[in-house]
This record gives sequence, C-alpha cells and structure tokens, in this order.
Amino acid sequence: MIRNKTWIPVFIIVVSFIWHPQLADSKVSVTTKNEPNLIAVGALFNGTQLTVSGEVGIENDVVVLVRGKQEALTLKKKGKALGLLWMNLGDVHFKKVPTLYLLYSSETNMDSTASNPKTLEKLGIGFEYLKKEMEIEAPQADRDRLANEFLKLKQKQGLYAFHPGKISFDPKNDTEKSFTAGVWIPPRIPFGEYQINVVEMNNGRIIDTAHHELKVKEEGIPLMLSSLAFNHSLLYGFFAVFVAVVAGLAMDFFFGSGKGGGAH
Amino acid sequence: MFHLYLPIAGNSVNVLLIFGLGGLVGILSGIFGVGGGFLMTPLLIMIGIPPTVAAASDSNQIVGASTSGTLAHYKMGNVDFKMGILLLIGGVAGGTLGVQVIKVLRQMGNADFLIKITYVLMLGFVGSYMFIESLQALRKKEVPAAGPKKESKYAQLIGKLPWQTDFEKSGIRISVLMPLVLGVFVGILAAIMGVGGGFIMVPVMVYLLRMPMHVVVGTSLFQILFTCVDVTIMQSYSNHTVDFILALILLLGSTLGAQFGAKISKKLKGDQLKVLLASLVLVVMVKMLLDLLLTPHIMLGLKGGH
Repeated sequence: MIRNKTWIPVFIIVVSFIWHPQLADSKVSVTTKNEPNLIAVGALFNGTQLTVSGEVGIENDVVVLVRGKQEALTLKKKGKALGLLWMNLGDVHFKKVPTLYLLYSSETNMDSTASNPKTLEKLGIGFEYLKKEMEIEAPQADRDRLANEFLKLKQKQGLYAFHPGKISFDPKNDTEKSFTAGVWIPPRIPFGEYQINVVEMNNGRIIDTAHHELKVKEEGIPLMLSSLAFNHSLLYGFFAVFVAVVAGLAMDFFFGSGKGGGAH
Repeated sequence: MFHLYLPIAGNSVNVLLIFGLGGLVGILSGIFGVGGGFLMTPLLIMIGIPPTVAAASDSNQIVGASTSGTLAHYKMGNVDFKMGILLLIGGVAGGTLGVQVIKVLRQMGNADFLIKITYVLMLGFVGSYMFIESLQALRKKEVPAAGPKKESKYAQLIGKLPWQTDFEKSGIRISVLMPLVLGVFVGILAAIMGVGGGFIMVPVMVYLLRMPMHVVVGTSLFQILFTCVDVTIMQSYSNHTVDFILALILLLGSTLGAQFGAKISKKLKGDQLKVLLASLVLVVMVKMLLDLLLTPHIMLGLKGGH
C-alpha cells in the first residue's frame, strides 16, 4: 500500500522499486522526507541536523543510512620502529570506501535485525559489510586489523557513525506509525552527492525501501575563497601574505606605537 | 555559536578557541622570538584541522605575528638587520638543500623515523643545554649572561676566521662566514623537520654567535618573517593548503599576543628568558617522546604535518 502524500515525489517510489525490484510484493512502504535535501555550506556552517521521516507498519523497524560516494584513500600506517618507537611506517591504500557512512536504526541491537544477513549485505548496511566491501592493499593477515582501524579513524572524524535505537516512533493508528531520524551531518562533510536509504524491516525481513538524494555544496565566502585558492593559487598566496603583514602592522599601530620609543 | 566554516580545512572551528590558541602562541613568539610552529601545528591537528592545512596556515599566521613582533622589537632597538640578512641568506640556501635531502631520505624509506629522532634529539639537547647553562648563570649573578669567562677553543677558532666584521647592534665582531654557515645548518634542519627553525635559530644565535638574548629575539623574528612569507606563497601555489580564514583568526590572536610578549620579554632578564624557553622546549620534547613510546589509539593517520 503506497500512501498518497502530496509531498512525496512519485519518482522516489519509482526509484525505490528499481533500486530493489524484488520487494515489489511488499504490503507497506516507507516514505521519507529530508529537510532540506540541499545542504549549503556557508561561512557559519557548523554541521546540521537532517530529518528523515515517514510512516511504516506498526510492528516494523526502520534503518536509515546516509552514504557518500566511494573513494580511494591513502593513509599512514603506524608501527613500531626498532621494536620500541611508534611512528608512521609507510602508506596504506584503501579503495571503495564511502566518503560518509551514517547509520541509524530503531532497534538497539542490529544483530537481531540482521537475521537475514545476505539481504543486509546487499544493501550495504552495517560496519561488518563495509569492511568486506573495502579493498585494502595490504597482506591478507593485516586486512581485518587495518579495516577496524580505518573505521575507528572515520568514526573519530565524525564521518562514519552507527546510532542504534536512535529512531523515534509516534503511533498514528492501529496499523501505522510515523518515524523520525535526526541525522547529524558533521561539519567536515565533503562536498558532493549523497544517498539516503531507508529500510523498513520486520524480524530481519526487508518489507520495503526508499531512496533519496542529498546534495552538499559550498556557497558565499567559502566558495569565493576556495575558488581563489584553487584557480588563482599564486594570487591567493600573495593575498594571504599581504593581509597577514597588514594585520601585523595594524596590531603594532594600535597596541605598539608610542610606547616602543620610536624608530632608530 | 562563534563557529566559522574554514573552506580549505573543510571543517568548522570555534572562533574563540582559535583566537585563544593564536594569542597564547603569539605571547611565546614575542617573548622568545620563535615562530611557535612547533607548538601551534600539533594543537591545530588536535582540534580537527588536517595536518597539511595546519602546518601551511600556521606559516601564514606567523607572517602576521612576526611582522608585529619584529616591529615591536625594532622600536626597542633589538633587531640586528645585518646579522638577520646573513642568516636569512644561509637559511634559504640550507632550506633548499634540506628539501632535497628529505626527498632522498623519502626515497630510501624510513624518512619519518629519521625526522622524529632528529626532532627529539635536537629538542632534548638544545633544551637541556639551555636549561642547565641558564640556571648556572642565574645562580652566579656576577657571571655575564652570554659569555663564560674562559676563552674556549671555539672562541679562539672563530676569532681566526677570515672576513671579521662588526655587528654593532649585537655588539660582537665575528666572521661573515659564521652566520652564513650557521644559517645553512639551521635551514637544513628546519626543512628536514618541517618547521620554521626558530627554536634552533635562537640557541644558535645565543651560544654559537654569542649574541645578547634581547637582540637574538628581535633578529630571529625578523628572519622568521621572511621564511614564512616564502613558505606561505609556496604552499598556496603548490599544495593549496593555506586556509586564509584560519590564518586570519590565528593571527588576530597571535599579533596581539606578540605585542604583549615583546613587552614581557623586555622586563625579563636574558637568563630568565632562556630558562623559560628551555623549559618549553623540554616539555615539547617529552610530549613527542611519549607519542613515540605510548601505543597510539588509532593505528592509522592522515598524511602531512610535522
């Protein structure tokens, strides 16, 4: 049963079926909205809250995943030199790692949701599946450890997160309830396009899915400065030096002159 | 509240926190004549700035802080331009050479190991020597601050070098070769370690050039100003890692701090200054040593930085 809400774009439903066609026989669908679906990063941007909400069956659970495009990343590997000193010992190349991976679930224990692991794997849900998906240029024995360290680093940066039990429900009638997930978008989010996937589940079985696009882009002063820095880099360098010198002279004028005894 | 988005760093920061960090390092810069890069860059990384952006933007703010600091010291008659220019010429040559050295080291592998060990040993040696020497001088007040009584072999040796010339501001007469060669030495070390070199240059001026401490601070700031102008332009042009907004907030704090620092510096005695700088250098050395000895929380790190 697909509910006809005026604010639901038809294409979302179409895309959701294309994205997961085997679910065509589902009885209840998920509807989502994200406000706003464009995040403009201006001078005062400090992260933002993204609301993903909709309606699901009264007994069902919900998983929300905000995921960035896959990228390749080179990091430094730490190890012991001379068996004593910890330092960077060479590079590690990671491939097929998403730029952002924010996972929210209504259940506090995702293992119970994962009673059908293959379906979850197909949707790329959960850190364990992310570990399988990524490619690491390292000996097989080191792979698992490096994948875990990678996830730790990304979580520390706020770009990967898993929040079990962080989707709230509000009963609507005997058969339906509405859900809301407040997804925190971190300030260091890279610019680009993101996918919001919502999965409705019941006892580990996928009931339905929905899919949205999210765009993050620069505007205002940050856009102006980064285009200057990247397109006219030499000019930017001279400008940065000029402003620094002027600021230094201004500070001296306001705080230093008259007390230093004059020039020699 | 009080947050600003930094376009090159790709993150937002608390303006008051950055302003405070700038102020703190600016005070140290004004007192000791060091750029403060060896303190500021790790602090910026700690609050979430990518290492390459932290190092490059810090150079940008040092331009502002050292302009203000140099001017303040110049007004107090504490800048030896002749010495500063000679050190700068040597420093630029040494820096260029050092960049090539680090390229070769990286190709050979284990460059990071060498850099860290050089860092800890230099900090440990310089800090300990300054600390002990200044404490002894403070205890024996009749001994002049800069020069021990005995005519050491080192003093005899530098007295025999050609092209002896007077450095009036510093009140010394030495060979032109001395600042040039020492400038090259500091330039090489600074390039290898990826820092401005102020904390090596200051002890070099005090102990090897035998300059009075107050002139050392002003002259060091003068030299750092030019080094950091060069680094800022090169980093902007080649790597796009200078975050102008970050640098601007830092330098508002640091230029203000540098003014206070220069005034505090004037009130302190040379040996007191040296003990304080030595303590600071030793604290940084201990912190680096602990980083090397304690198991890291995460076994992967971002590329770049010191």
